[in-house]
Amino acid sequence: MKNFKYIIILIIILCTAVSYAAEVSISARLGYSPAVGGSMSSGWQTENLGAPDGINSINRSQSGTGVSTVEVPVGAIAGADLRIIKDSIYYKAGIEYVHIISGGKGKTIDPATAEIVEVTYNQWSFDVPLTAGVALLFWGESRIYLGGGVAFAYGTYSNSFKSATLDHSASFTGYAIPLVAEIGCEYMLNERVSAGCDIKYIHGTSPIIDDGTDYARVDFTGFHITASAALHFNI
Amino acid sequence: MKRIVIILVLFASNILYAEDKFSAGFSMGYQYDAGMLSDKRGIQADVQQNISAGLVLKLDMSRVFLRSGVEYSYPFSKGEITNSSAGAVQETEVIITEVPVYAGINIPLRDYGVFYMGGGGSYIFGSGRVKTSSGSEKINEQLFGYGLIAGIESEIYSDASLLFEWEYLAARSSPVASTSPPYDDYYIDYSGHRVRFGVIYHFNRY
Repeated sequence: MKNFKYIIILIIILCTAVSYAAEVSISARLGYSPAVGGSMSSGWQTENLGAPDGINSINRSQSGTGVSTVEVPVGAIAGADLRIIKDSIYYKAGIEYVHIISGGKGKTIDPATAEIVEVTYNQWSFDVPLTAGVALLFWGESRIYLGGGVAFAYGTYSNSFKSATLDHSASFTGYAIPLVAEIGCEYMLNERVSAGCDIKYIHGTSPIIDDGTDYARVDFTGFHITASAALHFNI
Repeated sequence: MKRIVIILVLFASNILYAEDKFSAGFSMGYQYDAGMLSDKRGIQADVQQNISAGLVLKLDMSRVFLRSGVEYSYPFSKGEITNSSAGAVQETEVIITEVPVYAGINIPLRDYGVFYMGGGGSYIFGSGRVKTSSGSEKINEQLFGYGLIAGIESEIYSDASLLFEWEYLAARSSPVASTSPPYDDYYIDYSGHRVRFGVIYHFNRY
């Protein structure tokens, strides 16, 4: 939790900035993450399925077997944020919710018994990123910004493996303080409203979590791309 | 394949009705660690590096763009696993034919050009081979990967621009070779970052 002090420092900077801010914007955003959850490895998979790298090593096939590839999990994202801009420097606080909507399911082969194993990976998380950086306004009509910071991330990763002789499922809930880098752009539709796009990279995993039958980390690492609509105010 | 055709038809029909700008051109690209050998746990390898050549199609409808085309990516440096850390797999030669399908927002920079970013993905037609201790396995994969794209168009003439583009894609194939028989368990990871430089011509700019 030592990274909390950085969050507190950023919040203080954010609050300080409010009193001198030239522009405040509130935005809502929707998007997706092309790969969620990292490797989704766990101790049980390593020991019982010979898959030390989780989803990256779970797929096995052989002609004549009814397997289906466990594909990269894709997550849907919904979020909102508050941004303050003063003299081309911005400070931003937000919240994003990520939930797997496709991928992460399939059938593989247990190398020990040659049985077909139904595999399911799932993850949801939310993160509260606090970022700061440079926001450049071009001719009062469009803006590009680039920044970085940290986030508080909290979420649950779960897995399930079922075959004729196996029935294992586990769930891990944890938090992390990931690093965040972002680049975005927005176009002013009028004085108050803009439409934009944001690419964010979050990098961080939770400590190892033991649920009694399995142990794993919750991996929050990934790219987030979102489209946004924002309201702008001068204060 | 059906989805590709539908998207291309939609793309083409948009061209017919576009009041703004349709652009086409050529690009050269680079991908470090094609096949993502460095991301495979426990594997020690000289990673594969690909160079690419592609056709760029871009339709700009005011502040929104559609980006498609086709790109052929070929290894100029194969992936070589330096010991037996990948079992029987010794070498990779991943060839990627990619059809990007992206949409997003254009940020015009007045007379200088356009900054754009958006989401979508790419259809991948994977070919090449994986060399193992018992022979060579051909790669023949078709899949879709979600990704994101960002780029800059910098005007060199009123109807032509230089293009610099970055794409991140996440996609993994089904197993194509075996690290330890009898099962195929070695997949091709098409994920990663691609960068492209190119020139595009704007057909109906003004």
